[in-house]
Amino acid sequence: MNNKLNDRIYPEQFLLLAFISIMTFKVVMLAQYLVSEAGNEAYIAMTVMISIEIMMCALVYGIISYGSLPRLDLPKGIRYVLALLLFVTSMAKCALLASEGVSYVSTTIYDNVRWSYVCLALMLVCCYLAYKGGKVIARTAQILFWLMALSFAFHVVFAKTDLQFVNLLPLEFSADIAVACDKYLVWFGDYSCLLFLSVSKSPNAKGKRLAVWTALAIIGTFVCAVGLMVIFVCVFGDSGAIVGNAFLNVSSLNKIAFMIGSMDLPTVCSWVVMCTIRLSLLLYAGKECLKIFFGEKWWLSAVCALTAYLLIVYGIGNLKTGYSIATSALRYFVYFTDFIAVIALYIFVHVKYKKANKPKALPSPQNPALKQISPPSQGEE
Amino acid sequence: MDFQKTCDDIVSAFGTTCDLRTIDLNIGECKSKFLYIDGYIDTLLFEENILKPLKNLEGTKEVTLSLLNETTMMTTPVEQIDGVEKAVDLIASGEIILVAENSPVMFKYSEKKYTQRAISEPPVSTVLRGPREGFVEDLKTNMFLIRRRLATPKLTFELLDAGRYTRTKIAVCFIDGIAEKRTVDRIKRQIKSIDIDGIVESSYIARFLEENKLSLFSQVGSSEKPDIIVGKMLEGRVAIIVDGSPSVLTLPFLLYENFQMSEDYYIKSYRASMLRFVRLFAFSFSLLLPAVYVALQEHQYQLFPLKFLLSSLGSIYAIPLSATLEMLLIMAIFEILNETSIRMPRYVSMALSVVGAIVLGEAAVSAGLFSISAVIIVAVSTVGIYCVPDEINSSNVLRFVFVGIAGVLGIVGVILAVVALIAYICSVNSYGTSFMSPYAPALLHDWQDGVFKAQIEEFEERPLSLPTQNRTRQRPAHKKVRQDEEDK
Repeated sequence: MNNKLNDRIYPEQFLLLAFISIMTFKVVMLAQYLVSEAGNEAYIAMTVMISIEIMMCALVYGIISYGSLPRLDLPKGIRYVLALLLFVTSMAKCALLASEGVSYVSTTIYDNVRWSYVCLALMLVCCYLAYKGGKVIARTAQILFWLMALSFAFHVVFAKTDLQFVNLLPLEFSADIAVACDKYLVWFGDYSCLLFLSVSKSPNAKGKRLAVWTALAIIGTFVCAVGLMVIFVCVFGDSGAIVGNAFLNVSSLNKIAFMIGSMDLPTVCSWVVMCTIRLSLLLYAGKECLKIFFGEKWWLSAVCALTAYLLIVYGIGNLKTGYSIATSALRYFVYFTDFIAVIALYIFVHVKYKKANKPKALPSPQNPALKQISPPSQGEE
Repeated sequence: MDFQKTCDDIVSAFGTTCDLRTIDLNIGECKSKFLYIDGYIDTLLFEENILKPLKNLEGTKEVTLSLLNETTMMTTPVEQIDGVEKAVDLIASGEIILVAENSPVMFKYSEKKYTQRAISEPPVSTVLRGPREGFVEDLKTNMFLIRRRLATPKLTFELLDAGRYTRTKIAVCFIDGIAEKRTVDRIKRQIKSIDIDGIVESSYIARFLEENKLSLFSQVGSSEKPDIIVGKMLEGRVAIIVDGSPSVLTLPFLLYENFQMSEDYYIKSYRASMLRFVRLFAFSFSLLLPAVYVALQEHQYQLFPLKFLLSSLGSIYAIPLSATLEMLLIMAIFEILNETSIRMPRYVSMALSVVGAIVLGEAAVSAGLFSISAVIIVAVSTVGIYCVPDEINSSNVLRFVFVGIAGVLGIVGVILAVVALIAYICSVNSYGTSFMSPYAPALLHDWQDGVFKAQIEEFEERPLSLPTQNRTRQRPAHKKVRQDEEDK
């Protein structure tokens, strides 16, 4: 496999990966945590953080439109520091989020299963995807998008509509919102792993059409994340603080879920798929960071997966410990990498490339500067 | 050239074979000898057009190419041959070689005739509507079947050969100006690099042309129908015809081609779209149904709707085997029956089917070895697999793998396996294009001939998924004509 091409995706694939990255772990435990801190104003905390995340995603897109992080013309020192920061963040996030996912799977879907087995299976698949590279992850997401879309459509069509909008009030904009935003920072900033992708010109949409798609994707992500939080508050109100795995238990919000079984299969399927892709992206980011230090080695993704597995099974162990770690001072480290470092990198890259008057490359397949055989068809990025 | 030594060398090269024929005659005053393989030539035409005119020649002191061409009546001109080795190869491939005294070279006549299968409908791709011609085992006939549909000088056949012993002729076939030159060159390079003792069927070549040798899925398209091959060539693909095989290969090959049938292009697009959707559904359904059933029964029985759970409990509670083992056993028995019924003569296979149906459907269930629901699921799944005949091999293997995973890890294992499988397929490339194209990466333009098929008149450009030199497929002249007609 030509590694120079492995990170190259189309803008629509970037939008999809950003959507998956942002949404996946917002619908598990975060809803409960936000309500426990901010009460019925949890959806405002979500609105604020999602708005910031979307803006940060735009910055990431701005950076990778010049090339993926390993390909950017950065001073060696900055590259190594960034790689180290991103590696630690990716691994920490992968372990924390995976433990949440594995906990959901092993407690909800199985009667009696050791969660280390589920974790092993999950990490094996994520490792495989990370090994294959960003392009394959993006393509896989594109195929599986239809499953997610079907599941979403199923819930929209058969949704129960008796929402108690009164639960959203009163609006006091209390300080708890800021506390909630601060305390659960680890669940936000889900885009820094996308720095290891690069974007080429889309064969489907250019100019205005692409702008429309981007706008739709942003609105869609915003509406989904905030809308689901609104629904959560409307249904459960303050008692949402004791409702775990928020939207993964959507049977209660669906008219016919019980008719097709006592558990919500479409949601389980699509969420496990999203979770796999999200964790694969994190492992892929970890692998790419290691590549900066050790060069191209086939075992890098295995090392990342093994690290994450050991962290989950022996470091975190259960959901409670995971919660304690995620809400500890570690969150400021993640905050620094996901927010401050990304903004700094954007400014640095923008200024540097503007000065050098380098074209905003979107390294197209025909770009001979990449010294690769130009793919003859659009089927290959 | 020593006449006698040359003749002896050629004869001795064939050893003790009994089908090498030699005819001695005098052409004028020159001693000559014809050498050929018995049964490979048209003896009547050989006698009438070659032997008789040459016997009647008088006063000739030297046999030359022009003399032979003037004297004998042949549609294929006589050619000069140098060297015994080449002469031996040509005789082995069915040509007639003439060795003459006082002549520094040998001469080659082509008068091949051998029995071959008539052109008929291929048993693996029958259609309700559309051409019923199928390729045969003869290369020239197959080339003609394509040429008849593509009456353009741009149609190019480039002849190669492979196989040290078989010297199998391989025609690389493409439309110049449509197929991308780089793809053609790459295919030719690959074929030329084959160094094997023999090529007896086109699938030998297919294995050499595959980019990912260990792939579960076939990465080279194949068809026995000329209309399908021509359709693919018009999209920019390259066809490879192998002498001795009725299956013609095409490259590049995309996964979604498995869900396209020739008939889709001859019927209304809404029906074609529906059929393609059915194939896709049947393929996914048959692949996953046994695994999902095992996963739900072994691990996530709470996912069964209550009524279904109650009714299936009645049939499974007394089964001595675990759901996984039961499913694997039934599938294995189905495989054995399938394999036997294909290999056996038709009358035996019918009897086998009856025995299999009775043993499986009645006796095993009555004896309490298998549950009726498991048998039904394997039956439905097996029928579904045959909706996409080109992927039977991979889907059969995958069914077993999925059932095994489902038995160990349940529904989450199945989902993870599906994700891994999709990731694997997405990573495969076929001659410069993604195997999953036009769905990953999504190429909206090509969706018009994907799961949902648009009307032929909407295919204005060739698929973006495939490399081509010329994108324009259809100019919208017909739209103007229609508009003019409406205006009138």
